[in-house]
Amino acid sequence: MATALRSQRPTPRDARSDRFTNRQAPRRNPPLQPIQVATSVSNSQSFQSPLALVPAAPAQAVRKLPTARPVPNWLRLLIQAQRGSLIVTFALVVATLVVYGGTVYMQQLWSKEYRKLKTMQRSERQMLAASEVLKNQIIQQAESPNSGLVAKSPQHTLILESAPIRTVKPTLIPVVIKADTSANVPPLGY
Amino acid sequence: MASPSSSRTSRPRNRSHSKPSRLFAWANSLKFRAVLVWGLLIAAMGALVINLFYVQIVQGSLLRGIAQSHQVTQIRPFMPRRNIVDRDGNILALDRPVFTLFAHPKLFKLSKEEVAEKLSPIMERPIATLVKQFNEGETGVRIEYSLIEDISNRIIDLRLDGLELIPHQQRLYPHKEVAADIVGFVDGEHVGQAGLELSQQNILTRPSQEIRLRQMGDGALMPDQIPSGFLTQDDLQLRLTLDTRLQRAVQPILKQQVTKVGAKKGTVIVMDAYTGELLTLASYPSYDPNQYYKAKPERYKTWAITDLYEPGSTFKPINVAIALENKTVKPDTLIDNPSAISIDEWPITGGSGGSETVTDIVINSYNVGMVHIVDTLKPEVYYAWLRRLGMGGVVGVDLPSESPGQFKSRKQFVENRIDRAVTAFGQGFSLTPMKLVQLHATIANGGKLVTPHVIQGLFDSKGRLYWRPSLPAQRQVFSPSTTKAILPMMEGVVTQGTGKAAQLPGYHVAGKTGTSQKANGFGGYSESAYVTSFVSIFPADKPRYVVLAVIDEPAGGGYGGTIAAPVVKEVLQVLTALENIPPSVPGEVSAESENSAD
Repeated sequence: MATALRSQRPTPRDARSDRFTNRQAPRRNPPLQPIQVATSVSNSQSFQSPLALVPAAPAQAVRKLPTARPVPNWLRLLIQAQRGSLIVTFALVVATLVVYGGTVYMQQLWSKEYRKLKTMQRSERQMLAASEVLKNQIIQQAESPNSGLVAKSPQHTLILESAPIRTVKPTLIPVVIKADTSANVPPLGY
Repeated sequence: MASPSSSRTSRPRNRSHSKPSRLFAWANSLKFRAVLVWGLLIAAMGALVINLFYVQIVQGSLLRGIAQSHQVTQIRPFMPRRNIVDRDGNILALDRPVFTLFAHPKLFKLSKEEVAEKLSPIMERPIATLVKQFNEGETGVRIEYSLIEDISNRIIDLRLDGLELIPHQQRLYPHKEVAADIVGFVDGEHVGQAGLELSQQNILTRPSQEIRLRQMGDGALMPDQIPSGFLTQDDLQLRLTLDTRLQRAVQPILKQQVTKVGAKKGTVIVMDAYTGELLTLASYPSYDPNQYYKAKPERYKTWAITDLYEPGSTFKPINVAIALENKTVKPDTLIDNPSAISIDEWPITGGSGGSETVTDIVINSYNVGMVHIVDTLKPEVYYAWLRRLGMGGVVGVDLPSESPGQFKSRKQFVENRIDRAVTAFGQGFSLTPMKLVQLHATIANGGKLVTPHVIQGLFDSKGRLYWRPSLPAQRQVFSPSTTKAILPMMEGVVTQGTGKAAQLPGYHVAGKTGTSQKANGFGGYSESAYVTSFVSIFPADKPRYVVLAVIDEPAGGGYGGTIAAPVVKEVLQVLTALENIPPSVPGEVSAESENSAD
């Protein structure tokens, strides 16, 4: 027990609590026996019924307790600021997560689309090459004497002589005056 | 009661009990515990620091390298050489990625036969051949040089160990030899070696640089470090003035004639006289640029711009134009035209033996008459005119290795009459076929010296011009009245003179034949080697095109009017059909078609 107490002594928290208890308890009593002090006090007020003591004790305690003073403005402001910053922090965290998630998703999406682009570019190249090679093959086939095709020559050209330039008389375009019948049409809504 | 033995044992226990209890008490003390925990934490922290040092400093570079290899990938985007297209958008040259397949039989997880069995259907090659190839070495056996993407992907899908695909680019010329003379080819290193591939190397190559990108665990690329413009690959392509349809049609005509007359080579040039755009530049023999290594290297050159020849009589209209421009003669001026003359003791033959008009001299291609026509010009003036026309210089065509013509020095030309006399009928100097086309274009277009060219420019896929080569400005050398006077003379050549073989029913064709002796390399002329040529301006009534056919050294001899003129006629036929040129006399075309139907 003694060692334990000694070990408790050096810690500052204990020292502070000691000072506190000293202030409340009678000085003559050793600080290590607060219970005995309490009993001695109760003993000094002997022969009193415990019922009578009750109202007196709280009255003293209430008087000594710090009354609930109105919260000062600066504190209220601070509390509000704290609440506000909490909401802002929360919103920012959510936004950060959304942005971060979006970034990662965008990168994945980009990567996917890039792969698609490469595939499409490849197809384009292949189709271009194939179509040109095919064109060459078809022409070569057509050029072979057995293809039944002949080269285009002036004899195959249909020559049309241009007609003499006609003088076009400006014809009168009949102007149709459209009668406004919209007023007679009943509205469809009825 | 306890036994003595037990009491003996109990005593030490009591003693020992007192010691441990003190020990435990010390161990139980908060101070000890705190120190213990602190110690543990410090020790753990120390261990972490040591590990941090080890990881960061000792092994730092190694680990960084491993991490980089996982996270960073270097990609070299496929940057094809730009396509070359003709005036209608037909692709004459394009790039495609191909793969070289290497086998490393040492790394095969399966037997060689099994690998061969899997590869065989994809590569369309017998299993035995593949196994034989695998047996050629332990590693690095080249199985195939150029596999297209589809096949390479199928090989990748087999997921076989010991096979390696190395990507590279291959130039494909889908129309093979059709435009080989103009387009040229690239070698194995993708560097242009002939034609436009050589002369327009800078325009055709797109810069390709490696890009370092971070990648995710699954190999997906992270786009955050992509340089700007990574995806915006330009779609520019080099558009030519060439008409592949015409070129294709001309080649068989040329080939047929060259083989028929047993000539060494032949060329046909079709040019738009007003713009200098070359519609056709065909040579025979040619080569397939896809397999350029199979052809003789001398075929790689476009001989219409690299080889010089003496133009012969095809140059006569130019001389007449100079004389007309200087007003020393008129088309109907009578010129003395004896059958033979001697100048500086050199005999010149080829006259009618009387007097002829300038027009008749051109129509019938009289050499003596021509000598007398140029005699009307002062030697200095004549020389200055020929230089003004660019004799002895280059045309400036946008194809590589153009040869400048050869022309005499001013001193020699002015002092020796014989030098001027032979120039009168196109001998004693040399030029390229392209130069001759340029000179005749001046007659067709009203006297402007245009620059023949094959490049229209770089166009994007929407047909917007991005770059155009700067051509020298057109230079007016003859007055339109002069060229207008020359055209009937040249038309007369075809209707009644030496070029009757080029007559095209329904159309007015102007032309001039040329048969010139070839220099024998010893300062004289060969007795048997001739260059036959025919140059035509078409249609003569509304000149638009200049067509030149040159047939080099026909085996059995011959003249421009008999060997080259028929080629031009056939070319003109195709040209009228493809370009929809209406006939000047419609009745004649239908008459001939009726005749041919009969």
